[in-house]
Amino acid sequence: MVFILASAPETPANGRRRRNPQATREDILSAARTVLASDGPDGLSLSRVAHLAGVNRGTAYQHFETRDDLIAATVDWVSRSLLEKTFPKPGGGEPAEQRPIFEAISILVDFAVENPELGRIWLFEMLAAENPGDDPFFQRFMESTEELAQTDLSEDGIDAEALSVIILAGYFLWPVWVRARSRTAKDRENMTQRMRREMLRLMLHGVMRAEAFPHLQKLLDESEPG
Amino acid sequence: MARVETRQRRRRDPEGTRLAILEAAKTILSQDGAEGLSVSGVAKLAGVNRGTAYQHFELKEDLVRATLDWVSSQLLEAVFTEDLAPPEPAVEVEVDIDDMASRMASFSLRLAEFAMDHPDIGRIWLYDVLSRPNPREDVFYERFAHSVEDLVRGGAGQEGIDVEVLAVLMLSGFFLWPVWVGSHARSKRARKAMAQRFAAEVLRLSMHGVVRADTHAQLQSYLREKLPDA
Repeated sequence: MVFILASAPETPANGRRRRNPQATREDILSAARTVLASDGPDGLSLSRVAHLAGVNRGTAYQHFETRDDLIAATVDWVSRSLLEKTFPKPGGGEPAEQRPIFEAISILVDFAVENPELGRIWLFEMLAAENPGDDPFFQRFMESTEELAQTDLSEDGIDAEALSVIILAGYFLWPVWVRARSRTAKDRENMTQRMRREMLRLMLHGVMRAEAFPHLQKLLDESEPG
Repeated sequence: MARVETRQRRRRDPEGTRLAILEAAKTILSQDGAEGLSVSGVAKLAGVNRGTAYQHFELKEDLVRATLDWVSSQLLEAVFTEDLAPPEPAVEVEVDIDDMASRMASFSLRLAEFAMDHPDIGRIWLYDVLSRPNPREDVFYERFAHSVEDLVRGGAGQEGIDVEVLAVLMLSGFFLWPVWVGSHARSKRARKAMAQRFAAEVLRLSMHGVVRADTHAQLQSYLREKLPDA
Protein backbone atom coordinates (compact mmCIF):
# COMPACT_ATOMS: atom_id res chain seq x y z
CA MET A 1 0.00 0.00 0.00
CA VAL A 2 0.82 3.60 0.36
CA PHE A 3 3.65 4.35 2.51
CA ILE A 4 5.45 7.33 1.43
CA LEU A 5 3.55 8.92 4.27
CA ALA A 6 5.39 10.10 7.32
CA SER A 7 5.45 7.47 10.03
CA ALA A 8 2.86 7.76 12.76
CA PRO A 9 3.72 10.44 15.26
CA GLU A 10 5.24 9.14 18.44
CA THR A 11 3.18 9.77 21.50
CA PRO A 12 5.11 10.55 24.66
CA ALA A 13 4.59 8.21 27.57
CA ASN A 14 2.35 10.57 29.47
CA GLY A 15 0.05 10.84 26.47
CA ARG A 16 0.53 14.54 26.21
CA ARG A 17 2.87 16.49 24.16
CA ARG A 18 4.12 19.95 24.02
CA ARG A 19 5.35 20.81 20.69
CA ASN A 20 5.07 23.54 18.22
CA PRO A 21 1.79 24.05 16.38
CA GLN A 22 3.51 23.42 13.05
CA ALA A 23 4.48 19.89 14.10
CA THR A 24 0.99 19.22 15.40
CA ARG A 25 -0.46 20.39 12.13
CA GLU A 26 1.87 18.04 10.25
CA ASP A 27 0.78 15.14 12.46
CA ILE A 28 -2.86 15.86 11.80
CA LEU A 29 -2.30 16.09 8.06
CA SER A 30 -0.30 12.90 8.02
CA ALA A 31 -3.12 11.11 9.86
CA ALA A 32 -5.63 12.57 7.38
CA ARG A 33 -3.60 11.13 4.50
CA THR A 34 -3.56 7.73 6.14
CA VAL A 35 -7.34 7.78 6.54
CA LEU A 36 -7.96 9.08 3.03
CA ALA A 37 -5.56 6.56 1.54
CA SER A 38 -7.30 3.63 3.16
CA ASP A 39 -10.96 4.68 3.18
CA GLY A 40 -11.31 7.63 0.84
CA PRO A 41 -13.12 10.87 1.67
CA ASP A 42 -16.17 9.04 3.03
CA GLY A 43 -14.13 7.64 5.90
CA LEU A 44 -12.73 11.00 6.90
CA SER A 45 -13.86 12.75 10.04
CA LEU A 46 -11.97 15.24 12.18
CA SER A 47 -12.40 13.17 15.30
CA ARG A 48 -11.05 10.02 13.66
CA VAL A 49 -8.08 11.96 12.34
CA ALA A 50 -7.45 13.59 15.73
CA HIS A 51 -7.54 10.20 17.39
CA LEU A 52 -5.11 8.68 14.90
CA ALA A 53 -2.79 11.67 15.21
CA GLY A 54 -2.87 11.39 19.00
CA VAL A 55 -4.04 14.96 19.50
CA ASN A 56 -7.20 15.96 21.24
CA ARG A 57 -10.20 16.96 19.25
CA GLY A 58 -10.17 20.55 20.37
CA THR A 59 -6.60 20.94 19.15
CA ALA A 60 -7.46 19.39 15.81
CA TYR A 61 -10.38 21.79 15.40
CA GLN A 62 -8.06 24.70 16.05
CA HIS A 63 -6.04 23.66 13.03
CA PHE A 64 -8.83 22.54 10.75
CA GLU A 65 -12.31 23.75 11.39
CA THR A 66 -14.04 21.40 8.99
CA ARG A 67 -13.38 18.19 7.17
CA ASP A 68 -13.33 20.20 3.93
CA ASP A 69 -10.40 22.22 5.29
CA LEU A 70 -8.62 18.96 5.94
CA ILE A 71 -9.30 17.73 2.40
CA ALA A 72 -8.16 21.05 0.94
CA ALA A 73 -4.91 20.87 2.92
CA THR A 74 -4.35 17.29 1.74
CA VAL A 75 -4.98 18.26 -1.87
CA ASP A 76 -2.42 21.00 -1.46
CA TRP A 77 0.07 18.52 0.01
CA VAL A 78 -0.38 16.15 -2.97
CA SER A 79 0.06 19.01 -5.39
CA ARG A 80 3.26 20.20 -3.74
CA SER A 81 4.66 16.69 -3.54
CA LEU A 82 4.03 16.19 -7.25
CA LEU A 83 5.56 19.53 -8.04
CA GLU A 84 8.71 18.80 -6.05
CA LYS A 85 9.12 15.37 -7.58
CA THR A 86 8.50 16.28 -11.20
CA PHE A 87 9.85 19.80 -11.35
CA PRO A 88 12.66 19.87 -8.79
CA LYS A 89 14.14 23.01 -10.27
CA PRO A 90 11.98 26.12 -10.31
CA GLY A 91 11.32 27.66 -13.71
CA GLY A 92 12.02 25.88 -16.95
CA GLY A 93 15.51 26.61 -18.16
CA GLU A 94 16.55 23.53 -20.03
CA PRO A 95 15.72 23.27 -23.72
CA ALA A 96 12.70 21.09 -24.48
CA GLU A 97 14.69 18.32 -26.12
CA GLN A 98 16.75 17.85 -22.98
CA ARG A 99 13.90 17.61 -20.57
CA PRO A 100 13.80 14.39 -18.62
CA ILE A 101 10.47 13.41 -20.14
CA PHE A 102 10.54 9.69 -19.49
CA GLU A 103 11.69 10.33 -15.92
CA ALA A 104 8.76 12.68 -15.36
CA ILE A 105 6.35 10.11 -16.83
CA SER A 106 7.75 7.43 -14.53
CA ILE A 107 7.52 9.62 -11.45
CA LEU A 108 3.88 10.43 -12.14
CA VAL A 109 2.83 6.85 -12.93
CA ASP A 110 4.62 5.59 -9.82
CA PHE A 111 3.11 8.23 -7.58
CA ALA A 112 -0.38 7.51 -8.92
CA VAL A 113 -0.05 3.75 -8.47
CA GLU A 114 1.44 4.08 -4.98
CA ASN A 115 -1.13 6.65 -3.85
CA PRO A 116 -4.31 5.72 -5.70
CA GLU A 117 -6.84 7.37 -3.40
CA LEU A 118 -4.82 10.49 -2.68
CA GLY A 119 -4.04 10.93 -6.35
CA ARG A 120 -7.68 10.66 -7.35
CA ILE A 121 -8.81 13.02 -4.61
CA TRP A 122 -6.26 15.53 -5.81
CA LEU A 123 -7.29 15.15 -9.46
CA PHE A 124 -10.97 15.53 -8.77
CA GLU A 125 -10.73 18.39 -6.30
CA MET A 126 -8.28 20.22 -8.53
CA LEU A 127 -10.44 19.87 -11.65
CA ALA A 128 -13.57 20.87 -9.77
CA ALA A 129 -11.97 23.91 -8.14
CA GLU A 130 -13.24 27.33 -9.05
CA ASN A 131 -9.82 28.15 -10.37
CA PRO A 132 -7.68 25.07 -11.15
CA GLY A 133 -4.94 27.43 -12.27
CA ASP A 134 -4.28 28.04 -8.57
CA ASP A 135 -3.13 24.48 -8.07
CA PRO A 136 0.68 24.68 -8.08
CA PHE A 137 1.31 21.36 -9.80
CA PHE A 138 -1.42 21.69 -12.39
CA GLN A 139 -0.26 25.19 -13.21
CA ARG A 140 3.33 24.08 -13.71
CA PHE A 141 2.29 21.02 -15.67
CA MET A 142 0.16 23.04 -18.04
CA GLU A 143 2.81 25.72 -18.46
CA SER A 144 5.30 23.06 -19.35
CA THR A 145 2.89 21.57 -21.90
CA GLU A 146 2.31 25.02 -23.35
CA GLU A 147 6.04 25.71 -23.56
CA LEU A 148 6.55 22.48 -25.43
CA ALA A 149 3.57 23.23 -27.69
CA GLN A 150 5.16 26.53 -28.67
CA THR A 151 8.44 25.04 -29.76
CA ASP A 152 8.89 23.48 -33.16
CA LEU A 153 9.68 20.19 -31.48
CA SER A 154 6.00 19.53 -31.02
CA GLU A 155 3.03 18.97 -33.27
CA ASP A 156 0.92 21.94 -34.32
CA GLY A 157 -2.41 22.91 -32.88
CA ILE A 158 -2.08 21.39 -29.40
CA ASP A 159 -4.77 22.44 -26.93
CA ALA A 160 -2.60 22.45 -23.79
CA GLU A 161 -5.53 22.60 -21.40
CA ALA A 162 -7.46 19.70 -22.89
CA LEU A 163 -4.27 17.70 -23.36
CA SER A 164 -3.21 18.26 -19.74
CA VAL A 165 -6.57 16.99 -18.50
CA ILE A 166 -6.37 13.88 -20.72
CA ILE A 167 -2.87 13.04 -19.55
CA LEU A 168 -3.49 13.63 -15.86
CA ALA A 169 -6.83 11.80 -15.91
CA GLY A 170 -5.03 8.86 -17.51
CA TYR A 171 -2.30 8.75 -14.87
CA PHE A 172 -4.64 9.01 -11.93
CA LEU A 173 -7.38 6.64 -13.10
CA TRP A 174 -5.06 3.90 -14.29
CA PRO A 175 -4.58 2.73 -10.65
CA VAL A 176 -8.30 1.87 -10.49
CA TRP A 177 -7.71 -0.54 -13.34
CA VAL A 178 -4.48 -1.80 -11.81
CA ARG A 179 -6.02 -2.48 -8.43
CA ALA A 180 -8.85 -4.54 -9.93
CA ARG A 181 -6.45 -6.72 -11.88
CA SER A 182 -3.21 -7.12 -10.04
CA ARG A 183 -2.81 -9.82 -7.43
CA THR A 184 0.88 -9.52 -6.79
CA ALA A 185 3.44 -6.78 -6.54
CA LYS A 186 4.87 -8.13 -9.77
CA ASP A 187 1.56 -7.71 -11.59
CA ARG A 188 1.40 -4.19 -10.31
CA GLU A 189 4.89 -3.39 -11.46
CA ASN A 190 4.13 -4.85 -14.84
CA MET A 191 1.02 -2.69 -15.23
CA THR A 192 2.89 0.36 -14.01
CA GLN A 193 5.48 -0.29 -16.68
CA ARG A 194 2.77 -0.62 -19.32
CA MET A 195 1.41 2.82 -18.48
CA ARG A 196 4.90 4.36 -18.57
CA ARG A 197 5.49 2.89 -21.97
CA GLU A 198 2.12 3.74 -23.53
CA MET A 199 2.29 7.29 -22.19
CA LEU A 200 5.77 7.69 -23.64
CA ARG A 201 4.60 6.28 -26.96
CA LEU A 202 1.57 8.53 -27.10
CA MET A 203 3.54 11.65 -26.12
CA LEU A 204 6.36 10.90 -28.50
CA HIS A 205 4.06 10.45 -31.47
CA GLY A 206 0.97 12.42 -30.55
CA VAL A 207 2.50 15.48 -28.93
CA MET A 208 6.17 15.77 -29.75
CA ARG A 209 7.93 15.38 -33.03
CA ALA A 210 9.52 11.99 -32.59
CA GLU A 211 12.48 12.82 -34.82
CA ALA A 212 13.60 15.52 -32.38
CA PHE A 213 13.84 12.98 -29.55
CA PRO A 214 15.87 10.05 -30.85
CA HIS A 215 16.83 8.90 -27.34
CA LEU A 216 13.15 8.53 -26.41
CA GLN A 217 12.39 6.65 -29.62
CA LYS A 218 15.27 4.33 -28.81
CA LEU A 219 13.94 3.78 -25.30
CA LEU A 220 10.54 2.97 -26.73
CA ASP A 221 11.92 0.60 -29.34
CA GLU A 222 13.88 -1.27 -26.71
CA SER A 223 10.99 -1.76 -24.32
CA GLU A 224 8.53 -4.58 -24.71
CA PRO A 225 5.00 -3.69 -25.67
CA GLY A 226 2.46 -4.73 -23.04
CA MET B 1 -32.02 18.00 -11.16
CA ALA B 2 -34.12 15.51 -13.07
CA ARG B 3 -37.34 14.71 -11.33
CA VAL B 4 -38.81 11.35 -11.82
CA GLU B 5 -42.50 11.57 -12.29
CA THR B 6 -44.50 9.77 -9.71
CA ARG B 7 -46.66 7.43 -11.62
CA GLN B 8 -49.78 5.59 -10.82
CA ARG B 9 -49.43 1.99 -10.00
CA ARG B 10 -48.62 0.18 -13.17
CA ARG B 11 -50.31 -3.01 -14.10
CA ARG B 12 -48.92 -5.55 -16.47
CA ASP B 13 -46.14 -3.30 -17.61
CA PRO B 14 -43.10 -4.87 -16.03
CA GLU B 15 -40.81 -3.33 -18.63
CA GLY B 16 -42.18 0.15 -17.93
CA THR B 17 -41.79 -0.42 -14.20
CA ARG B 18 -38.25 -1.61 -14.66
CA LEU B 19 -37.37 1.47 -16.68
CA ALA B 20 -38.93 3.76 -14.09
CA ILE B 21 -36.84 2.06 -11.41
CA LEU B 22 -33.65 2.35 -13.46
CA GLU B 23 -34.33 6.00 -14.19
CA ALA B 24 -34.82 6.72 -10.50
CA ALA B 25 -31.72 4.71 -9.59
CA LYS B 26 -29.71 6.71 -12.10
CA THR B 27 -30.89 9.96 -10.51
CA ILE B 28 -29.97 8.79 -7.01
CA LEU B 29 -26.62 7.36 -8.13
CA SER B 30 -25.75 10.66 -9.83
CA GLN B 31 -26.60 12.66 -6.75
CA ASP B 32 -25.39 10.49 -3.91
CA GLY B 33 -23.31 7.68 -5.38
CA ALA B 34 -23.81 4.01 -4.59
CA GLU B 35 -23.56 4.69 -0.83
CA GLY B 36 -26.71 6.78 -0.95
CA LEU B 37 -28.74 4.24 -2.88
CA SER B 38 -31.25 1.76 -1.46
CA VAL B 39 -33.88 -0.28 -3.29
CA SER B 40 -36.60 1.25 -1.13
CA GLY B 41 -35.39 4.82 -1.71
CA VAL B 42 -35.35 4.17 -5.44
CA ALA B 43 -38.84 2.63 -5.32
CA LYS B 44 -40.14 5.71 -3.57
CA LEU B 45 -38.63 8.08 -6.12
CA ALA B 46 -39.92 5.93 -8.98
CA GLY B 47 -43.41 5.83 -7.49
CA VAL B 48 -43.34 2.07 -7.48
CA ASN B 49 -44.21 0.06 -4.43
CA ARG B 50 -41.38 -1.47 -2.53
CA GLY B 51 -42.43 -5.06 -3.02
CA THR B 52 -42.56 -4.57 -6.76
CA ALA B 53 -39.11 -2.98 -6.78
CA TYR B 54 -37.70 -5.94 -4.84
CA GLN B 55 -39.25 -8.31 -7.36
CA HIS B 56 -37.19 -6.60 -10.02
CA PHE B 57 -34.02 -6.14 -8.00
CA GLU B 58 -33.54 -8.30 -5.00
CA LEU B 59 -30.34 -6.67 -3.88
CA LYS B 60 -28.98 -3.16 -4.01
CA GLU B 61 -25.95 -4.54 -5.89
CA ASP B 62 -28.23 -5.95 -8.61
CA LEU B 63 -29.86 -2.57 -9.00
CA VAL B 64 -26.56 -0.69 -9.20
CA ARG B 65 -25.24 -3.19 -11.76
CA ALA B 66 -28.41 -3.00 -13.87
CA THR B 67 -28.35 0.80 -13.79
CA LEU B 68 -24.73 1.04 -14.90
CA ASP B 69 -25.31 -1.56 -17.62
CA TRP B 70 -28.22 0.51 -18.80
CA VAL B 71 -26.05 3.67 -18.85
CA SER B 72 -23.48 1.72 -20.86
CA SER B 73 -26.04 0.73 -23.46
CA GLN B 74 -27.28 4.31 -23.69
CA LEU B 75 -23.71 5.40 -24.19
CA LEU B 76 -23.24 2.76 -26.86
CA GLU B 77 -26.34 3.89 -28.68
CA ALA B 78 -25.45 7.58 -28.45
CA VAL B 79 -21.87 7.20 -29.58
CA PHE B 80 -21.64 4.26 -31.94
CA THR B 81 -24.20 5.25 -34.49
CA GLU B 82 -21.93 3.65 -37.04
CA ASP B 83 -18.94 1.40 -36.89
CA LEU B 84 -15.69 3.16 -36.24
CA ALA B 85 -13.66 0.65 -38.12
CA PRO B 86 -14.47 -0.80 -41.53
CA PRO B 87 -16.77 -3.81 -41.21
CA GLU B 88 -14.20 -6.33 -42.33
CA PRO B 89 -10.78 -5.15 -41.38
CA ALA B 90 -8.27 -6.67 -43.73
CA VAL B 91 -4.58 -6.08 -43.50
CA GLU B 92 -3.87 -5.32 -47.12
CA VAL B 93 -6.88 -3.21 -47.94
CA GLU B 94 -6.07 0.45 -48.24
CA VAL B 95 -7.70 2.53 -45.57
CA ASP B 96 -10.21 5.08 -46.72
CA ILE B 97 -8.85 8.12 -44.91
CA ASP B 98 -11.75 10.44 -45.46
CA ASP B 99 -14.08 7.86 -44.15
CA MET B 100 -11.92 6.98 -41.17
CA ALA B 101 -11.29 10.59 -40.24
CA SER B 102 -14.91 11.54 -40.42
CA ARG B 103 -15.86 8.55 -38.27
CA MET B 104 -13.20 9.41 -35.72
CA ALA B 105 -14.24 13.06 -35.66
CA SER B 106 -17.91 12.39 -35.14
CA PHE B 107 -17.19 9.62 -32.67
CA SER B 108 -15.04 11.94 -30.51
CA LEU B 109 -17.63 14.65 -30.62
CA ARG B 110 -20.51 12.38 -29.68
CA LEU B 111 -18.57 10.86 -26.81
CA ALA B 112 -17.47 14.29 -25.53
CA GLU B 113 -21.06 15.52 -25.70
CA PHE B 114 -22.43 12.49 -23.93
CA ALA B 115 -19.88 12.89 -21.14
CA MET B 116 -20.74 16.57 -20.87
CA ASP B 117 -24.48 15.88 -20.73
CA HIS B 118 -24.16 13.09 -18.16
CA PRO B 119 -21.20 14.15 -16.01
CA ASP B 120 -21.95 12.42 -12.71
CA ILE B 121 -23.36 9.14 -13.89
CA GLY B 122 -20.69 9.06 -16.61
CA ARG B 123 -17.95 9.23 -14.02
CA ILE B 124 -19.59 6.62 -11.83
CA TRP B 125 -19.89 4.36 -14.86
CA LEU B 126 -16.22 4.91 -15.69
CA TYR B 127 -14.97 4.05 -12.17
CA ASP B 128 -17.14 0.98 -12.21
CA VAL B 129 -15.91 -0.23 -15.56
CA LEU B 130 -12.28 0.34 -14.60
CA SER B 131 -12.74 -1.66 -11.40
CA ARG B 132 -14.53 -4.62 -12.96
CA PRO B 133 -12.63 -7.89 -13.06
CA ASN B 134 -13.64 -8.20 -16.67
CA PRO B 135 -14.39 -4.79 -18.19
CA ARG B 136 -15.21 -6.41 -21.51
CA GLU B 137 -18.51 -7.50 -20.01
CA ASP B 138 -19.46 -3.86 -20.32
CA VAL B 139 -21.09 -3.32 -23.71
CA PHE B 140 -19.63 0.10 -24.34
CA TYR B 141 -16.11 -0.69 -23.19
CA GLU B 142 -16.12 -3.88 -25.25
CA ARG B 143 -17.13 -2.01 -28.38
CA PHE B 144 -14.68 0.81 -27.76
CA ALA B 145 -11.70 -1.48 -27.16
CA HIS B 146 -12.74 -3.59 -30.13
CA SER B 147 -12.76 -0.54 -32.40
CA VAL B 148 -9.26 0.46 -31.34
CA GLU B 149 -8.10 -3.12 -31.91
CA ASP B 150 -9.67 -3.14 -35.35
CA LEU B 151 -7.94 0.10 -36.19
CA VAL B 152 -4.60 -1.35 -35.13
CA ARG B 153 -5.17 -4.68 -36.87
CA GLY B 154 -6.58 -3.03 -39.96
CA GLY B 155 -3.19 -1.47 -40.56
CA ALA B 156 -4.12 2.16 -39.90
CA GLY B 157 -2.76 2.16 -36.36
CA GLN B 158 0.77 2.77 -35.22
CA GLU B 159 2.94 -0.03 -34.01
CA GLY B 160 3.23 -0.96 -30.38
CA ILE B 161 -0.03 0.49 -29.13
CA ASP B 162 -1.15 -0.91 -25.79
CA VAL B 163 -4.87 -0.92 -26.50
CA GLU B 164 -6.01 -1.34 -22.91
CA VAL B 165 -3.86 1.45 -21.54
CA LEU B 166 -4.83 3.72 -24.40
CA ALA B 167 -8.53 2.97 -23.92
CA VAL B 168 -8.37 3.71 -20.18
CA LEU B 169 -6.43 6.90 -20.80
CA MET B 170 -8.80 8.23 -23.44
CA LEU B 171 -11.99 7.30 -21.60
CA SER B 172 -10.66 8.87 -18.41
CA GLY B 173 -9.99 12.09 -20.29
CA PHE B 174 -13.49 12.17 -21.81
CA PHE B 175 -15.21 11.67 -18.47
CA LEU B 176 -13.00 13.94 -16.36
CA TRP B 177 -13.07 16.86 -18.78
CA PRO B 178 -16.63 17.80 -17.70
CA VAL B 179 -15.36 18.23 -14.13
CA TRP B 180 -12.93 20.85 -15.36
CA VAL B 181 -15.56 22.41 -17.59
CA GLY B 182 -18.09 22.58 -14.75
CA SER B 183 -16.13 25.36 -13.14
CA HIS B 184 -15.38 27.13 -16.41
CA ALA B 185 -18.54 27.08 -18.45
CA ARG B 186 -21.92 27.87 -17.03
CA SER B 187 -24.12 28.09 -20.10
CA LYS B 188 -25.22 25.21 -22.25
CA ARG B 189 -23.60 26.85 -25.22
CA ALA B 190 -20.30 27.26 -23.44
CA ARG B 191 -20.35 23.61 -22.42
CA LYS B 192 -21.03 22.53 -25.96
CA ALA B 193 -18.11 24.61 -27.16
CA MET B 194 -15.90 22.97 -24.52
CA ALA B 195 -17.04 19.51 -25.66
CA GLN B 196 -16.04 20.46 -29.20
CA ARG B 197 -12.66 21.67 -28.04
CA PHE B 198 -12.02 18.44 -26.24
CA ALA B 199 -13.12 16.33 -29.20
CA ALA B 200 -10.79 18.30 -31.45
CA GLU B 201 -7.83 17.68 -29.13
CA VAL B 202 -8.58 13.96 -28.90
CA LEU B 203 -8.78 13.84 -32.66
CA ARG B 204 -5.48 15.69 -32.99
CA LEU B 205 -3.80 13.47 -30.44
CA SER B 206 -5.15 10.31 -32.05
CA MET B 207 -4.26 11.40 -35.53
CA HIS B 208 -0.62 11.74 -34.56
CA GLY B 209 -0.33 9.36 -31.67
CA VAL B 210 -2.57 6.50 -32.71
CA VAL B 211 -2.96 6.55 -36.45
CA ARG B 212 0.00 5.62 -38.63
CA ALA B 213 2.29 8.35 -39.87
CA ASP B 214 1.68 7.99 -43.61
CA THR B 215 -1.97 8.80 -43.21
CA HIS B 216 -1.20 12.13 -41.53
CA ALA B 217 -1.10 14.40 -44.52
CA GLN B 218 -4.50 13.34 -45.73
CA LEU B 219 -5.96 13.51 -42.24
CA GLN B 220 -4.48 16.95 -41.72
CA SER B 221 -6.11 18.39 -44.79
CA TYR B 222 -9.35 16.69 -43.89
CA LEU B 223 -9.22 18.27 -40.44
CA ARG B 224 -8.47 21.72 -41.75
CA GLU B 225 -11.49 21.47 -43.97
CA LYS B 226 -13.92 20.03 -41.50
CA LEU B 227 -12.79 21.43 -38.20
CA PRO B 228 -11.51 24.94 -38.83
CA ASP B 229 -11.12 25.60 -35.11
CA ALA B 230 -9.22 22.45 -34.37
